[in-house]
Amino acid sequence: MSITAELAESKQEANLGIIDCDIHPYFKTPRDLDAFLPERWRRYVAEYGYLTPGPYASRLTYPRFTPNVCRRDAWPPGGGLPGSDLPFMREQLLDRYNISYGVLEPLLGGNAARNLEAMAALCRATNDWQAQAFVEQEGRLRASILVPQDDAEAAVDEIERRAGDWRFAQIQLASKTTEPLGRRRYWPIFAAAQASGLSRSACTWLARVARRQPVVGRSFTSRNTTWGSTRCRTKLRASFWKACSRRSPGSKWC
Amino acid sequence: MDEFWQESFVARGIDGLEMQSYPPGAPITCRPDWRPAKGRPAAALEVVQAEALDSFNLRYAICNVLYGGQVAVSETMGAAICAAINDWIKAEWLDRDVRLRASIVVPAQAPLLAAEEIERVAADLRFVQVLMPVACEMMLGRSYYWPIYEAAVRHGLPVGLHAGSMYRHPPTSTGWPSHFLHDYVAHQQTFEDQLLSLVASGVFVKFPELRVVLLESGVTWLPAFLWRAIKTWRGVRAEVPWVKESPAETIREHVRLTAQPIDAPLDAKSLDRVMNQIGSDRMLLFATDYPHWQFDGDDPIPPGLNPALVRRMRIDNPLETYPRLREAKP
Repeated sequence: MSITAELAESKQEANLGIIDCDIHPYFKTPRDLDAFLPERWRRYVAEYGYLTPGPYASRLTYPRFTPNVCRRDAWPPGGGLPGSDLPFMREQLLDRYNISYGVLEPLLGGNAARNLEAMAALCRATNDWQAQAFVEQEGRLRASILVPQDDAEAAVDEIERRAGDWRFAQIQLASKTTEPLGRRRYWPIFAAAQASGLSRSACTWLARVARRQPVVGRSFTSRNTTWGSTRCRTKLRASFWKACSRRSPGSKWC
Repeated sequence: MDEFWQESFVARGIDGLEMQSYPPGAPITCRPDWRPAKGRPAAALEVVQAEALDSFNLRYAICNVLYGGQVAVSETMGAAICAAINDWIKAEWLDRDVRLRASIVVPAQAPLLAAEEIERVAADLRFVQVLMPVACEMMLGRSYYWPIYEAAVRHGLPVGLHAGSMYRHPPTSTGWPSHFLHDYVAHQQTFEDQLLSLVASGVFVKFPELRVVLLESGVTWLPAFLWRAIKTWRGVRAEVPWVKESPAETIREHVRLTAQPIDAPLDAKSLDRVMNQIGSDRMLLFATDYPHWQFDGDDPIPPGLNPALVRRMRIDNPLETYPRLREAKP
């Protein structure tokens, strides 16, 4: 074959897509989750909010540097929060950058609630919402399974409920757990993940005051960001790889 | 607020700084008949006048704002919000109804800035108290906080510790509860801890004129706590030789409590007995805790209190605790 023909052929075959592993979906309105919550928990959220370990009732501990911690050009022209408008997400992200697959990482607080039953209900509802509001509407997207990590039994239940469901690509754990992730109380989650064949992500959660972590000295957003990543890395490195790689050699992390 | 802060709050989209201690939708946060169909409770002067000032026939009402500055993790942002609140309460409330008085809200997370705020505002005699949440970053007896007490005493202001938390620490000594119910009841523990800290650290020795007011702390836990404090002090007083009198005497002299909630037992007779066990009729201050939901109906005072005590609660004790109330300036 001539060189020109070879080049023409290789140009036709090359179509480099990208997989975006970190897309943050948001609610259009705070009431969006209601449709996925039982009445008991709808009422609980209306009265008590998510009851997370921080000083404010309805917002994050550290005020962010931009509204909703989002880039300013990501606010949809039609209204709503960045990441809440699927057509605009297609236009601004999926189509523009030729995203073949995008993994949703909700940072919506369901897995930070102190009430463990509420945590389980909120995780389940958030998972249903991701699947219906995003994944079913847009074939390139996949959801993360939020789990109530401080209640291992309920977390395993949620994983087993979603295992085999094509709409979910991974399990999400909040980086601010009550104890370091290598502790045995979390191992049933890893066992369930292993059995399900799903990978796990530990998203750096910049939003909440950690339980049992000192806050004094972390007055500013930039310091909190660094601290969050450091803690995330420390958790993974120090206790977790040792314990879990040995136990679950097939596990994948991101 | 100055231009920097005004722009910061707008450009960064920072709003909604209600405290976790009082979730806006929670029953405790607002009595149902005081909860408006739209907007926030106790947000308009006319509403507060009708529902509280006129309804309870009040000669004076002390406004205690509970909002985000007092719990902010940033010292400077906390101070900016507190200063704005103090300016706002003066302009929108104190200037518009002569019955109103207020606490100076301060950023206890930054004691030097808190002292500065007291200095800035204290000349206005309608500010009758310094206000902090009861759960801060450390025990309040620590010398770290003494600049606040020094400034308060210099201006003749009591320091009010209100139910509420910066949530830097778990609400209990064994960790984070799962339910708001537990958070709220556990405040009693925090009030006890702070009293012990103030007494044992010698704050009332260092500042003999300091008065501390416990707000929305409950009341009926006090006698048993005093008994235990007396007993233990007798055994280990060598550890704190500067505490030269029984903690109960110190607390009866220096500490006051708002009587809402009282946390009354179910029978009126028992309540009278508990009040006697406190050992002082000078400690209780009449309060409605409006608009928090502590009682139903028109009478904030539960049955069972003897009339002499009620009169002291309504008139004498507040005048003694807040000397500035006697100066009725518009």
